[in-house]
This record gives sequence, C-alpha cells and structure tokens, in this order.
Amino acid sequence: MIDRFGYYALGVLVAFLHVSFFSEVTIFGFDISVLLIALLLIILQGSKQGAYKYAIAAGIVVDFNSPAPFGVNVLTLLGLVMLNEVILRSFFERTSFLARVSVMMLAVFATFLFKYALFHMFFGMGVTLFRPDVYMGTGVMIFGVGILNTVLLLLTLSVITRADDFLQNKVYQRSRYRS
Amino acid sequence: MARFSDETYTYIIAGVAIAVVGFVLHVTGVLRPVESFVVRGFAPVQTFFYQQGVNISEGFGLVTSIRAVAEENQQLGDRVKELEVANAELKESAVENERLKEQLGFIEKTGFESVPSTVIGSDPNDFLRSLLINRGSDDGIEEGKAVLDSKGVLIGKVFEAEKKTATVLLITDSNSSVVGIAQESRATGAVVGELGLAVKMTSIAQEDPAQEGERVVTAGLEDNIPKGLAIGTLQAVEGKDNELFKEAKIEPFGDFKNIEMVFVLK
Repeated sequence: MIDRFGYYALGVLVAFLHVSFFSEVTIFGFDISVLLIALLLIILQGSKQGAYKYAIAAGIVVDFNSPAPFGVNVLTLLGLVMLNEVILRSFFERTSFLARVSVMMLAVFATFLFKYALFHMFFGMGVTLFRPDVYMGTGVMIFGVGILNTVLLLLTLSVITRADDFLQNKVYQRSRYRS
Repeated sequence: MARFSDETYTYIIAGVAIAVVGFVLHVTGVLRPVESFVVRGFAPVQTFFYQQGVNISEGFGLVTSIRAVAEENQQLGDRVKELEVANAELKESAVENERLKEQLGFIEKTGFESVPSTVIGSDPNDFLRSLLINRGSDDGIEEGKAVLDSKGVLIGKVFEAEKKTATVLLITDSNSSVVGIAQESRATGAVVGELGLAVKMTSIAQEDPAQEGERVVTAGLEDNIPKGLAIGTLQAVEGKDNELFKEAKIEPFGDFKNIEMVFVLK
C-alpha cells in the first residue's frame, strides 16, 4: 500500500511545502529546491517507479499553485527523471560520490532549460503572455542554486545513511541478545 | 542508447497525458473550479507554512550578517524607505496640487480603496516572480489592478483573478510593465522587471532630463494604475546620443522578499 501510494503522497506533501514554506526560505540569496532534493533522493535510492509517481503528483500540485500554463511542472519533473535515468545508467554508478555530486547540478541546469523551452513554446503559440528572459545574472544564480542544493542533497543522504546504519545496528544487537 | 521498461513508459505516457489534458482544460477554463477548490481548501494550512517560511527566512538573514549592525541597518533602511515614500507622495501631491490649482482652482485628493490580502504562497521559478493571495474576484479584485505593500509602495499587478484567490505578478518580473514618471524632470518611461532581480525604466525620451536620485512614481496612464504610487529611485541613467531612447536602473522602495500582506487597489 505504501509502495503504491506512498510516493504520490510524498510528492503532494513536498510540493505543498515547496510552494508555501520553502518559497521564501533562501540561503545566501539562493533558493532551496526541496522538490528536486526529494526527487533525486528517490532516484539515488534506486526507485525508478517511485520517482515517476513522485514527479507526477508533485508536478500537479505545483502547477495548481503556479501562474504558468498547466503541465509545465509535470513535464519538467518527468523530463528530469528520464534524464537522470539515462545519465545514471550510462555514465555513473548510482551509489558513487560523483553521481551524487553531479545529479543535482545537472538537475538544476536541466530544470532551467526545460522550463525555458516550454515557456518559449507556449509564448510562441500565444498561449501565455510570459516571455522567458535570460540575463547575465541568471548563470550565476543557477550555479549558486546548484551548489547549495548539491550540499543539501549530500547532507540529507548522509543523515539518511547514518540513521539507517543506526537502526540496522540496533536490530542486529537485539537479535544477538535474543540468540 | 538507454531504453526504458514498459512500466516506465506507462508512467511517462500517463504524466504527459495529465499535463496535456490539464493544459487544455486550464486554457479552456474547465479546470478553474477544481484549481480554485484545491487552492482554497489548502489556503489556511498553506498560509501558516508560508508565514513560518518568511519568519525563518528573516532569521537566516540576521544570522548570516553581524546581528547588531544588520538590525540597526535594517531599521535605518526601513525608516529611510518610509521617509522616501512619504516624501515621494508629498512631492507628487505638491506637483498635482499646483496643476489642479492652476487648472481647476480646487484640490481634491481621493483616498484609494483597497482590499487587504494575505500572501498564501508563491511559485519559486526562474522565469516568473509571482505571489498567490487569498482574495479574488468575489472581493472585487480584477486583473490589472495595482498591488501595494504595507508601506504603500507598488509591488505588482494582479495577473489572474479567481473567485477566492488571485495571482500577483511582481514588478521585478521580466513580463511586468508599468508606465512610470520621474518626479522632478517629469520624464516618463516603461518600468519593467529584470528576471526578478531588478527593475529598470526604459523608453525614456532622449530629450527628457531624467537624473540619478529622482523618485519614480506611476504615471497614471493605464486604466487600473492610479497616478503617484511610489516605485523607487532612479539609478544610473544610460543612453547614447544617437539613440531615440535611454534607460535607467531603478532601486525599488519595495522589499520583494518576505511579503506577508499586500493591498490590492479597487
């Protein structure tokens, strides 16, 4: 049941926090992308189907709260899962440090490019009045957001790994004591 | 070339189908009641989380700088901004006063009627700088109306008004455009945003003597934007002699981070 609906629920919860709590929280002026951190954690843990479920649910919630044309966030998150799947299968070991460091940078750049392409397409079609513009500062901002979120992803992974080790150790000690 | 499994294709097709169908329903307006219901249903909890985020963001700001200096600086900055706004309003009133005296022989300053609204969320996005507020067309909010912060500074315009909620496009967004006027030189131009990072005044006629340090207010040339709303101060004015127009950076009076409450003019 949790495997079936857990990722959808996680997607809704994280997206909800993304548009409310984390929308104003920045570190050194750079946005915390809790949406991407959670998605990449799922991907790095090896749950492909979970990542797709999460992407669909989270994308819908963000689209409901965004003035952008509906579907932009669903398509962007789906695109990210596909891109990561290809990259992790072709270039890196999922558990390697290099994979952990590079996926976030790639995800931040890819999100920007996906959204830029979609906004341009919708603007060209006359569907939206929003015209995506890029300035010199955009590159710095993307780079900063990428680095910040990479650090946060590594920290979160480290906490999860330690917590997992601690729990495993506790279970092992208990079973040893019983035997 | 990496290939995806059948199950993966199912999720991709499902996701794309949801996006496309949702997009069509959104554009045709069929999805509006559902969107409105979802946003309205979550609004109280969302407001709570948004405000907690704002509080934490403010906390981060203090921790990352030297606390005492930052606090004092903040207070002084706020005070200066308040005085700048008051000064801008007074100057605009004085200019308006003079003109009305000359033309009509009497002065009548009408107070703006506004709808106080709470910010319930925003879309942290590279291309859009927007806020979601808890008032909509049921409260008299219409698209294109001016949105002010608690100090009376123009921070945006209503982009989309649902029944119970509305989306505000901030003036720092590249898609935002308001006609502004420099208070002393009376130079007019389009006040446009720069990717959520800054605001500039473009299309200033070459012969207009716009100068650094002048306060910029709304010109009142648009239907829903009244005259005299404070925007910011002109910074470096740039323009070559052989060009028709020049442009200038604006240091806005408004603080575009941590906005909790806004006022939409009716």
